[in-house]
Amino acid sequence: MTENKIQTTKIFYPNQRLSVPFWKTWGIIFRNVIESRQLIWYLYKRDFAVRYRKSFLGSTWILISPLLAVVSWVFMNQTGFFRPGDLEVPYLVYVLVGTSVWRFFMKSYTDASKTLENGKKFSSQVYYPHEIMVAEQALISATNFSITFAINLVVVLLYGISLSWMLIFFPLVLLPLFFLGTGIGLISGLINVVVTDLKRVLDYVVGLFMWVTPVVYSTKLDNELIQLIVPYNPLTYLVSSAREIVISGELYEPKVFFICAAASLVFFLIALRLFWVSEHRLIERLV
Amino acid sequence: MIDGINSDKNVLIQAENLSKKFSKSLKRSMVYGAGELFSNLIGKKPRTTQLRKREFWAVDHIDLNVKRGQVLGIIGHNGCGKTTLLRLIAGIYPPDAGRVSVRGSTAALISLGVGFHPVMTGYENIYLNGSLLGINKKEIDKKIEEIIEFSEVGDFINSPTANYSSGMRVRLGFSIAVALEPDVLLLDEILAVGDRKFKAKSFKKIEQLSEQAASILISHNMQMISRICTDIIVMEKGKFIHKSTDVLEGIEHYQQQANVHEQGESGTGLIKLLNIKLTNKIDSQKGYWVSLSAKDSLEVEFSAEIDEINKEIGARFLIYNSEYIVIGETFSDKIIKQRDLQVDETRSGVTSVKVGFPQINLRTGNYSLSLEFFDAANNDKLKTFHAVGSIDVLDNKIKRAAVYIPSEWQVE
Repeated sequence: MTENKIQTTKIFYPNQRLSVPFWKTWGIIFRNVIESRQLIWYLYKRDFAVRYRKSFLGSTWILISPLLAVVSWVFMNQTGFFRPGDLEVPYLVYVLVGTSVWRFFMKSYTDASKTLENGKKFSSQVYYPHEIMVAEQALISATNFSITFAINLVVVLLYGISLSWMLIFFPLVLLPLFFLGTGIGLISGLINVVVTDLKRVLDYVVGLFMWVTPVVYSTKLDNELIQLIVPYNPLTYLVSSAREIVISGELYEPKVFFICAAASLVFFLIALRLFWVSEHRLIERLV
Repeated sequence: MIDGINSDKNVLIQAENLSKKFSKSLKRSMVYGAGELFSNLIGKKPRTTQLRKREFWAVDHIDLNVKRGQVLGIIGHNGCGKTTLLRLIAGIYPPDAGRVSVRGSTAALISLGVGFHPVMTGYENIYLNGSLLGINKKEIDKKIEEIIEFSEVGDFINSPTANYSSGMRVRLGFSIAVALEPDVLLLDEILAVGDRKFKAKSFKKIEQLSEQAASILISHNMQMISRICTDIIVMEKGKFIHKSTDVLEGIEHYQQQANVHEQGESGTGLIKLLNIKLTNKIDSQKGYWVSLSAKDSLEVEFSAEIDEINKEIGARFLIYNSEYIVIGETFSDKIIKQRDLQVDETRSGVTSVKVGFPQINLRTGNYSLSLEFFDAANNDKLKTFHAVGSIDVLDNKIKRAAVYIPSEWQVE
């Protein structure tokens, strides 16, 4: 047994991770995540427990918050302040599914951007692969979203909209949003360590994208500026496809969607590499 | 030949030219960080081996080998790079120059109870903290009883760690960390906590673990260093300034240059201190520094060249504690009497004196000695030699006061 232990020799030298070829990065990250699955699971349990153990309503919050989030939109729509453009389904359904999808994207972004910050407490005390924090956050947001999504489905069914069997592809359609959000978030998190100001700007910009993405309004909204920007915003295709597959069982402009999805994946992989080569050098600058 | 192979295989920590630099200015550190981030982005390797403006080597080109069974003590001032070195070995910080290789499983006890969450129970935290340290679930399952028992937290194991006293948290953290039975054990000042009973217990545990591991121990507790270590290194400004297998000699070296009380002399008397030596009568430890227990006897020998003519000279020892408060003194009115001066007109001026302290009678701590010469006629100070010796009192016999007053008790 001791012999077996001896086999593992760890060597550390300068610019070690940069010496690893690009294409090997993801294999290493994947292996680390698999090897640390136990730890990921405990961190996941911890974060989940911590969030809800102290509150009386507990995990019901996950059920309530998506509904609360759409209250103001529905109110504005009902009172006529806000006209979302032509819709094939009731506005409540549209905005509920849309904002849930958008919130999933935003959550992917913020979680990833906080990876280093969250790990700060023990990153300088103990050696572990920091990429597992990304995996853990992904797990949490997947859990949260699946509960939110269940609520969405109930509402959709209550409105008498029939669900398509295409719905089984929903997780896959959602995945590019995770890639894009996490990718931007990882880079933002790195930048945050050295230039805090830039991250604030980025947070704001990513948030603003909701207004140029058909989340609370329809793609057919009659507004020149919106119609000018929306077609060139990749989020339009990613968000709309995720929503449409629930409501109508179809992708929104499938061709463009697939291009955007592939681009998101590539972007995510590049961001992951940048994160991996940089984060351990930035740890010492976390203050 | 076989011996050679064996020893090589047993070298578990090996560092060559290992270095780490830090920036003194936070803003600059951020600018450099941003620069490195950018070069990472374009795939260019940042040059790490040169110092840039306002940077310094926290660990400065260090070579190190630690074998299985060796316990290396590293001592030095705060900020001399001890902990950074440990972090480099543990892989927490990437090196800026040189390399370090570590064989086998590593337990870096830089702080205890890392990742403990106050809302989670002790039981849950054992699994979390354990897996953070690289122990898998099976191993934890096997050792959980042992961990709980060792930590002495008892029924609290099922309460959130928020309800724990700080001592309990540390005990639990320690118990998890040592359950790993690592090949490489890195200890950073972690035994400075907990109550005395637990301290003694953890001390024993470390001793037992270190037989099978290559260990590095950082501590300001010289008693622990001298008891547990097989090798010693004194660090200053990121460099090793003293390396020895004679631990006591290393501690002495450190005490000498690290003495809080600066060595030196003051006064205008025509007196030169030629040499001074402290001797612990129990184990004949000799030199500038000795360690002993409160009831041990100490002997100080010195010789001085005294050229004050026609004066009776007295000498006084002042004992300072680490806060630079005079805690005790002892003196002899006349080490040189008028009579002696008259008799020996041609004397060389060298006087040798032996002072015996039957019991040192001080509580645990580090003390420094000053030697003062004065004119016996009017008590005027002639010359003072500061910090001529250093004493570590090791045991806890004296509980409350600074000094013990010798007394005779008759119970009838």
